[in-house]
Amino acid sequence: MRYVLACAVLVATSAVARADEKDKADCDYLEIAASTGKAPAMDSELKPLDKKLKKPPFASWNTFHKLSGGPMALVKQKADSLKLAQGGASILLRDRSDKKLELTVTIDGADGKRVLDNKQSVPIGEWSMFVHTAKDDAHILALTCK
Amino acid sequence: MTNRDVDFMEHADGELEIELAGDGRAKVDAVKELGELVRGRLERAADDVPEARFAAMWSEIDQTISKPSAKSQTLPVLAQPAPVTQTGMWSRIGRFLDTYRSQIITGAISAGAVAALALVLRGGGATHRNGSDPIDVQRVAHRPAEIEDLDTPGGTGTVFNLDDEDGSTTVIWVTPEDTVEGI
Repeated sequence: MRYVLACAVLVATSAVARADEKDKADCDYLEIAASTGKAPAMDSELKPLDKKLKKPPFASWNTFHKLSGGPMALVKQKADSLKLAQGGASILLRDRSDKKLELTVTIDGADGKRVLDNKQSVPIGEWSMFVHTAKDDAHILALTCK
Repeated sequence: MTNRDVDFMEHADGELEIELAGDGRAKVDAVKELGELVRGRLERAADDVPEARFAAMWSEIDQTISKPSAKSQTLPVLAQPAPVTQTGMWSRIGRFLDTYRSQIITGAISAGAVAALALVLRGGGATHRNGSDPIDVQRVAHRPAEIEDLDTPGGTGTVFNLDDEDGSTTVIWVTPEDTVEGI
């Protein structure tokens, strides 16, 4: 009888945990400064994006430095602010399924002006990159969620 | 013995029907009585043999029954754990497993059932983990994001996809109208 009760508790716990998983997303972001230097350089922390940053149109720059980054836990319908090295961003998880995440992303420049306001439905695990060019440099925010 | 006596014996055996006189009838009766005596003795002897065999069998059975009882007196001694000469961790773990074997098996089966239920409840998201990336992510399929809305105040937005073996990356490229202005 004790084992039956223990099994029931475990099943109920797993069901609750599954319900909780549907209301949140675990994301990782990378804020990158792209520029052109004498010698190509790329921070080791940018390895997940290494191949992409070496391809056009990113290949027009050869120096990539990580400005900030890390994990970020999103809760459904609760906007999460990111303090970036150059400006700021806000990310809202509007909804999610087993395959896709519905996100709203806003990015403000270092001067506080709104640069981008975007709603997208992104497959789980894929990267989205937001690039804001300025003269010869670029400011990139890369985001992936699961 | 005369031929007449042979006739009497055949008559006593039921093989010949003859007229019996007083002396003949006495002889026949004597022969019949003698036959009865011999037959009875033989039957008695025949009965005595199985009885002797049964007695031997019961004796054997008694011995067989008495042997387990003698063994059972020694069994508890054998079943008792040996004097604890090994006090190492492995021996203690072994004794623990022996003692709680049924509970451990029940627990393992329960855990397996719960794991199976959890997998069933998890649903049909055919995902896999990419362990090679420093940032571990779940991938479903290499498909681009669907842009539902895009607003780029003071700039021009361009959307394109970069597909490679790592997946499909959606790039939103914002070019300021005044490209002199920094971010």
